[in-house]
Amino acid sequence: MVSESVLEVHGLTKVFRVPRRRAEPFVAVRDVSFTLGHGEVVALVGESGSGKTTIGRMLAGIETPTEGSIRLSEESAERSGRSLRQRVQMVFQDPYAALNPFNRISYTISRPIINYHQMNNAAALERAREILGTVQLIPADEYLEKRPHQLSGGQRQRVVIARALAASPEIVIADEPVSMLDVSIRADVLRLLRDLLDQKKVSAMLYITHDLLSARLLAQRIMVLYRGNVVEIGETETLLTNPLHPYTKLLWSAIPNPRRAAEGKAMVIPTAGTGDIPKHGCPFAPRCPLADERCQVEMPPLEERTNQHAVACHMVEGV
Amino acid sequence: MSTLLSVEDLSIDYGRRNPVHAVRNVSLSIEEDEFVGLVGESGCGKSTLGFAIARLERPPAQIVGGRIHIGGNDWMSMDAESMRKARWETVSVVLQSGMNALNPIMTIGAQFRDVMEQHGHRGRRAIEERAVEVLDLVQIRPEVLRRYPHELSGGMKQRIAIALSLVLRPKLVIMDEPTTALDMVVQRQILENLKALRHQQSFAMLFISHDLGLVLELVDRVVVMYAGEIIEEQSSRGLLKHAWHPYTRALMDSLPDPENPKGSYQGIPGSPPDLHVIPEACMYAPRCPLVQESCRTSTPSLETFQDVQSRCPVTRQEVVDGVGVRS
Repeated sequence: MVSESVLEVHGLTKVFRVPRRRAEPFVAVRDVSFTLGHGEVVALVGESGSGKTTIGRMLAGIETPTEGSIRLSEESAERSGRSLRQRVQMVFQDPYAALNPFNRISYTISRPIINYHQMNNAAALERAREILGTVQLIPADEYLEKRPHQLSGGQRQRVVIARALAASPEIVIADEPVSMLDVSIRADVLRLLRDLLDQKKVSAMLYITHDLLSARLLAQRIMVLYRGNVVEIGETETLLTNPLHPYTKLLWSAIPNPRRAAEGKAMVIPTAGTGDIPKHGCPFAPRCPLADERCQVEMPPLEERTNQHAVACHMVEGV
Repeated sequence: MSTLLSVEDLSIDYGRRNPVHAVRNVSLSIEEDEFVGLVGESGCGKSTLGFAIARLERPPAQIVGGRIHIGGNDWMSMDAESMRKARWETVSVVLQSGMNALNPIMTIGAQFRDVMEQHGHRGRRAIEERAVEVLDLVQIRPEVLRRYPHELSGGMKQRIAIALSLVLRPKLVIMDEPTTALDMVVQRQILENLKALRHQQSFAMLFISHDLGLVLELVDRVVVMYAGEIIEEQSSRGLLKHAWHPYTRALMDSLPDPENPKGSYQGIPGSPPDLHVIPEACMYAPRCPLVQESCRTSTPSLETFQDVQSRCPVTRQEVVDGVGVRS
């Protein structure tokens, strides 16, 4: 376990209120607590609408938490939006939408350097060259002159990563950085992200994904989110070799596996309900094959079962 | 079984001046009720080919050579009216953003009626019954017929698009990356739906995707494209045992293995070639780990050997020599 934490999140909650509608406020994230250790990658795994991007956006200072605290080492980041934005940078999902098509790569990357490090243009360009080297866009001078439409999807995503690095952040929030890319180039982008940690370019990373397999390649710990609630958290291999929560099991079994499929077993996938989650009960209960009456009325707490492996489920036996 | 789709020597260019030769001399056939996967990286021509098979290619894309026959009918010389009728009835298409292909201001029920009435079906009740039947195939409740697309999730809309594609019992359904925009559990659900569907309604499928793992789970036979040409074609079962072409092997290695976390997992270095000028060489040579001098000076042909079509003479020789024998 990593001793020193770079980021501590406590009781993070986000409620979206829909103005001028009778609709109930929507709780996107409910009471989420975790730490990011020095040199650690934590994967935040869940389906669309589980609140994982909202958590990332709160950490990056794009959304304001309704409740809870986000603490970076040393100082509380809540005090200054600007310093939080420098210290926590995001890599976005869609490299086609995240870059301004009119700007050359030189501008895209040197602007955060100039903003955050008060460098002159020449020094900023020199730094930009260095960063392009880090993300393996070589020769850097050639890429600096290009505009996004001249780059492939994988190259664009490297530019988005380079732009995040330009602010010299301590923490990178990578929000589905490979889901828009071809399967054939995902491995290299994931390896690049891993290298950023190994080479100490950044101190910690939150990797947001719906894909447990890529989480396994990158993260030391995995946190599984369902409808805004953390349902399971643990060290990667522990959690994947012995998933406890029924939702984690479902996520794991959903992964394409042609060798297993060749055996010809059909799978039953419980459909997502149309939105009625029990008010006080477990959010997964409507889809859960194990749920009983208690699950409908009582929210299971997130409890540690074995070393560093916690799960929020009434139906998992205590160890 | 008889041949449903036969594509012979099809070539498609983008643009007239300095054209991109996006698809070159592709021959491909699909039997009735067969599921075939078409895989390759972005830009390899797989969607261009899929669109052309449905005759949905639009300028600057144009077919510059070849023949397409579906169910014995010449698909290239058909007039606009017969083509309009044949779409949905003989061939239907599900797009990657099929969920956005639904009309936002019509209820789902109205969209089913629209398609069916355009093709001569009459009677509100009969149409609704058929809609409910196909929705049931993808496990969607009939209530959605009264809903608008914005009231539904992405996964539901994509399953509705699939149901809609089946409503007139077409012989061939072309699906272009139907699950790419969706998350894992929803993707799995659609995959299981599609597997079950073939037992309930008879149709053939061309499933286009960049994800070989997904394709191998679903289809009987896989066609691999690279830089506008077919470079390998064989049964899914065979491919799982032994990929012949170095590019197909690289695609296999880029898939993480759920059962082996430490297995080889690597991307494919380099990027696909420019398709303005086609060299007299193997298109994959610049990225190939097994490249030999002859690969750079002559164009390898697609040859059949041991039920496998492959465009690589080097790995074919391996098999002949017993080095890369299929396990």
